[in-house]
Amino acid sequence: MPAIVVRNGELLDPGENISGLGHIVAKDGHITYVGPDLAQARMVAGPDAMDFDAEGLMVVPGLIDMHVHFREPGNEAEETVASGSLAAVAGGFTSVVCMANTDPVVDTEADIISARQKSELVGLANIFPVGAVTAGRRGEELAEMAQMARGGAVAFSDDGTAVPTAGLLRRALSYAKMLGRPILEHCEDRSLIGEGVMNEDFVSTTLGLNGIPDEAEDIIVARDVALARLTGGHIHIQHVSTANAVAIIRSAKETGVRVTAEVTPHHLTLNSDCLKTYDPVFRVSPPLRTQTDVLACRQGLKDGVIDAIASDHAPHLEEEKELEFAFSPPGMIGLESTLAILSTELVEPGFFTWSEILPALTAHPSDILNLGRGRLRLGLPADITLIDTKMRWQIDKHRFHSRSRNCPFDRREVVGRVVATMVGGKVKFSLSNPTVS
Amino acid sequence: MASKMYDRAWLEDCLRRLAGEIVNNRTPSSAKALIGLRTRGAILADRLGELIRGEQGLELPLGYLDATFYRDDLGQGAGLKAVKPSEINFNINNRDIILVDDVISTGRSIRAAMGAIFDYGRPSSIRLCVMIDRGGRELPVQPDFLGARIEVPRGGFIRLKLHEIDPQGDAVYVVGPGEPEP
Amino acid sequence: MQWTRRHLLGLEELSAEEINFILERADSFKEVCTRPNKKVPALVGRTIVNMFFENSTRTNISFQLAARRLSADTLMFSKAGTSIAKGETMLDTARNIEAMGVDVMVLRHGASGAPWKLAANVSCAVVNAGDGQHEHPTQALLDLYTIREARGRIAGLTVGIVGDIAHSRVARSNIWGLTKLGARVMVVGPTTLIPREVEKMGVEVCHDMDHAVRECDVLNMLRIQFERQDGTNPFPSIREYKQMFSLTAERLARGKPDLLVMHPGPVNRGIEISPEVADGPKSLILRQVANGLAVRMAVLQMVAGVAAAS
Repeated sequence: MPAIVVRNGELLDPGENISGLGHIVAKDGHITYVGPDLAQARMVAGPDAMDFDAEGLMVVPGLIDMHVHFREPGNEAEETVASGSLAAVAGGFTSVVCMANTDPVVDTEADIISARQKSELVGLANIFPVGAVTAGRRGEELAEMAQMARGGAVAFSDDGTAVPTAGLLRRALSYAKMLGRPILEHCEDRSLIGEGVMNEDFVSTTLGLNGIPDEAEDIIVARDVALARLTGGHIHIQHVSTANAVAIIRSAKETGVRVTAEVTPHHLTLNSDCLKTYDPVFRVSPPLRTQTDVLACRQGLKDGVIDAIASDHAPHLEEEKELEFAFSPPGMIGLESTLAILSTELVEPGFFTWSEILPALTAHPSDILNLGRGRLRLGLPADITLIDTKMRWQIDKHRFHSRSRNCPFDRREVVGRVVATMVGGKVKFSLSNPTVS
Repeated sequence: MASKMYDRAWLEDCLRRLAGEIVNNRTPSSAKALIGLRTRGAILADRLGELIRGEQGLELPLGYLDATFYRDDLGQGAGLKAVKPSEINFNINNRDIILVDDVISTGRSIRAAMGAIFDYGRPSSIRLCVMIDRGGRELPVQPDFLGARIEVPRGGFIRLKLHEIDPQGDAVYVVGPGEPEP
Repeated sequence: MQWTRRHLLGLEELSAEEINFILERADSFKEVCTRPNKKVPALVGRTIVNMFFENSTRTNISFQLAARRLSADTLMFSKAGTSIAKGETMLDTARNIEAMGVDVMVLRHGASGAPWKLAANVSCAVVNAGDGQHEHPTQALLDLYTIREARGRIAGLTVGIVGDIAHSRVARSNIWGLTKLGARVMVVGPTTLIPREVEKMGVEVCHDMDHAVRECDVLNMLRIQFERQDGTNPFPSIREYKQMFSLTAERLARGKPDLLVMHPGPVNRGIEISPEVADGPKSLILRQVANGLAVRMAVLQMVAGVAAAS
């Protein structure tokens, strides 16, 4: 395999203190040079290396989405490992972390191995499987977590629902600590969700839709950080959506609890006013909250209370989203819109710099899950994403590589686009034919 | 610019003449009643009733009709303007109905009004009284009592104004094609 | 003004002028309904289909009769229960029916927002006959019509809406309509049946029925349902609810002498309202039903007119 010299890009990796014009050499799947000296890069790359002209592009560590749902096995019409992987690289993601709520549930070592084998056959993005916390995600007995860890599970999660009781989660956190893995928790109290289908606020009152109060999330987050303190285990709060949850995580972090957190692009940019059209594309779990919550999530991200940005890419069939709001399943796809939305809604208006956003998509999720990626560092796998931060385009769900179309950002005019994605030193996606010489 | 064709004096003379003709007209039964077609026909019916009472000493039953729901032009957006309830508080069976309207043109409103009247019972006859016949008939409907005939060019129209509801007071205007409302 | 809407979906989106326009038109249809011949040819040759995805005999009959009095042809499609992912969706059904050439669809549906979805996907007129817990515009219009008829006005009156405000489409539509027309609105019920931030709709919240009876000129008593088996009932017992919120003759006697009582039906006699009150001289319940016809005739005639013209 010939080496590749990615030359003349605007390198950016704040964690490694890399910022400015430079070159990267990918050789034998790994990064063998990062720096400003093109002559040296060429020497490291060797005589038959290919050139990839990155002039005018931002060159960053390959993005990591630590929360996606590929529906294989069980719902291949919605998404497969192959279609999801293609969506990932098209969105600039070199690594994705797949949740366990497939059909059947990923709750054995064999399931984990099968998921990894499938991703190797597809050969696009790195896929890191998550195993269920409880057998069948039924919330009754622990799944065989140690065997799944041996098979390659990077974490455990019953995502879709919270682990139902404090006693069970205590055991799970304690056990996962022994395995050096975090528990990723979907924080919603079942009894407070009730019949709820959206945030409980004035909008739900006028729309006549049953509401879910913030406290459904806050209570579970508070319970979970308490149990992380008790066990010393690592709890990771998925898709934080309320101002109170941010505050609880902030204070837990201050007292040294092993807690990390993620937020989705939609909870950073959309609020419950979107539901006024009754368009089921805006139904998501946890629900879109108020603008106050949106701003609190942004502040949490800025302050490092929230570590990661994850899409919670949740494909659903068009016909399911054609149902009445309350009957349609919750979830949005995000792999192919995340970068553009963050760029357009957070970076372009000046709320965040790229240096503030990038770690949440690279080094932080890698550290939370011990993936050993997410940095432009010598010796690491050559996962690299090239972004044209100035390119203006319109999101068109019909051109997505995902099999599903439930994207809340469809038709938006955005700025910033992934131009090429390199996984393990190979170009897996390029917007047009790149200048390869 | 719309031209004023007739003034108040003409209208008063005309109504007095029509009141006389209505009273003297020989109808199948001897029980006449006035029904004015909303909006201006209803006001004219009021005035005719007043004249007949004052000058002839005859009290005729008086009703008002809104025939919007009987019109045949739903598809042209008719029936979307404000309506008022019909008020026909007497038995119309075996009566001679004098239907009163301001202007007749195609005859379609009169057809709709006759349809509506029949939903209140079976009159022994219906006679038609209008102030102005502007021509342009599309149905075989002719007035029995007529104020005046004014030919209006295609695209033009007649505006009969009444002091009860119109700031211009009693008057008849001819509005040519493309001219603004008086 | 001239009516321009092809759909009647909810009162939230209507102006006070539009609401009054409908009420005035209903006056004309009320007159039609008093004639020996109660039919007008306004919608001859037009087809109105009632699509009911939720059972409701009364509303269905009222709409059908209204349509027939306008000389429209009527069809009834009923599919109780909720639509499911694998079955035919509401839109599939609607597109099929529309392909047969209908002019107005009257939709009753258990899901809030369903009429908006329908209206966005068909070219005929759509009338909301009740969607989930959201709106029931014709019920509120007939309530407004009945109050206006009985009291000569709506502005300045105090109207209490009593019962399960949280889950009631009748309450929401009434709140929008009454507040737009200048009434003072009080929502009355236990805390667990009052939805979040309802004050922002321009109403007062009251948990004291005796206070409401003293303050109000009109009391609209909602139907109370108490049948959940999963321990999520919003109040402990019917007995306790009755003691706190039921409109009894004794309570009514402490109200204003001209206090009027309404109920959207069907009445749970002896629960939210006692039989002697429901059948008593202050009750407008049967007038509401009669006025419902006139209001629905007005609505159907207007939306069909706009649909025909567009």
